[in-house]
Amino acid sequence: MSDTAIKAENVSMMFNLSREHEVRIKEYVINLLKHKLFFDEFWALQDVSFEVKKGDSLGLVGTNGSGKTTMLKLVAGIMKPTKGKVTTEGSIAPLFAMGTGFDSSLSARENIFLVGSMRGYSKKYMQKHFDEIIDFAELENFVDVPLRNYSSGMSSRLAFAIATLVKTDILIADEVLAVGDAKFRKKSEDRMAKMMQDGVTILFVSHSSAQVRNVCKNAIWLDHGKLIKAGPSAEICKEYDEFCKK
Amino acid sequence: MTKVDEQMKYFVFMKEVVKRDIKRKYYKSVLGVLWTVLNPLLSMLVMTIVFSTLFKRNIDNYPIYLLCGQLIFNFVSGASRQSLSSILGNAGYIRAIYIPKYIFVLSRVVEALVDLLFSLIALFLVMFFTKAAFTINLLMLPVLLVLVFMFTLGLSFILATYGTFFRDLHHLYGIFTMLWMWTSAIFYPISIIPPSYSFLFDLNPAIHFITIMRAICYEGTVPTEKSLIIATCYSILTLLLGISVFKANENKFFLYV
Repeated sequence: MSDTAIKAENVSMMFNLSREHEVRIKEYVINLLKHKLFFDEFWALQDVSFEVKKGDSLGLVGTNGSGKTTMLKLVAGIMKPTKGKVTTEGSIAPLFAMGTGFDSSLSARENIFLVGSMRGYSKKYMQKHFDEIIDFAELENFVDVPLRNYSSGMSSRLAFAIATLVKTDILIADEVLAVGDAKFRKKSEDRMAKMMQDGVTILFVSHSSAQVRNVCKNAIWLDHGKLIKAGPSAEICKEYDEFCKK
Repeated sequence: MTKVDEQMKYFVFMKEVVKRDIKRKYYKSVLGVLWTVLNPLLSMLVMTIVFSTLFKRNIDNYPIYLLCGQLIFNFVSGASRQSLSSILGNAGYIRAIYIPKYIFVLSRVVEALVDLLFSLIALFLVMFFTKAAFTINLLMLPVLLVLVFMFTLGLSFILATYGTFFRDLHHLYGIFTMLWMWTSAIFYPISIIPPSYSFLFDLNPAIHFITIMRAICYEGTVPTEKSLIIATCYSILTLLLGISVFKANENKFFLYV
């Protein structure tokens, strides 16, 4: 057991853009003749290294398309890096803005058990946290309503509650505080501060550098897939804000 | 946590998925799970009415003969067809959280197995009412189920892999299973196959599983050693091939979902 929770070593991630759009046979043959088929490369991350100690929090700042979410996905294990290595220690609770593994035809009650089981928690274990989750997400009156009838705020509150109230070692949060009203945002920030006290490692992405400063001790700044600077969050956020104003 | 524990925790998830899918399949239907028993019974009835006029003289107790073939073939084709879309169909999970991908394929095959087990009730009912012999050889049934499960899982791994990369396969496979069904001696006696073509039928793995099934449930005998050996070879080789194809490609899936 080391005291490092997340370690990224010279991580690079390449996407083949020619694969991203639908390929018809005609296009395929033309591209093959032009030798273009395998060369439309896009490097979302290039040679990024960082380390997060247990119980620490790291914020990722950067403009759209700088590779923040890609980095989080690599840490969560959803993707494997093209080059380099990402190692993590302990259980991970991923919380992505674009989807959390919910099944929209199931109710909140069923989704809590389903999402819990994805992270390896039994029904019995989730039952213990059930009331706490519903209470935090303020969904007492909607427990048995299918999620497709939820507002986006409601389902993201539920996602946040499940990710933060069930025991975890690492929390990965991608733009999660962007949704929800100011009251819930305050509650969420408090909850994350409490988790840090309990020794949970947090990896946090937000467009708002003010939030990064509130939540995180350290930060790294990514731009076009490259690591620009790493250091204390106040310092990095200040420089990033100045860069954005230009 | 050891590696085994690590994998075991995902079986909790698989159980939830299997339960959910079975529940969803019979959602709001009046008869619910009863359909798993009724379905093979009714389709057997239709087929018996259609085919008894054609083959009655060759096959006695045609309902049992037919059911044996149908249950096994429906398991193989149903599970493999479901697995084709198992990765694409679970894109929501694959994009959101790390779960070993094989869980999605395995869960579809397990669902089909649950269906098969329910359908066996239908078979036993028909055996009872047609006064077919219940012999001690029925105890061999689990052996066959293990073999056919291994074969189907291997096939499903291969289809899940290529079904993710080439979506055309979904349409092709429907046509292929139709051809496969009609060449698997489900509705007709194997004896009507001309000897000059019989080697082609020997290559069809489904026929060997069906032959074993018929030995156990229809003829009430011990399956021949030859059929058992061939079936075992097919099962092991297909499973190994399936696992290696799947393992070689699973890290590329997220680019296609």
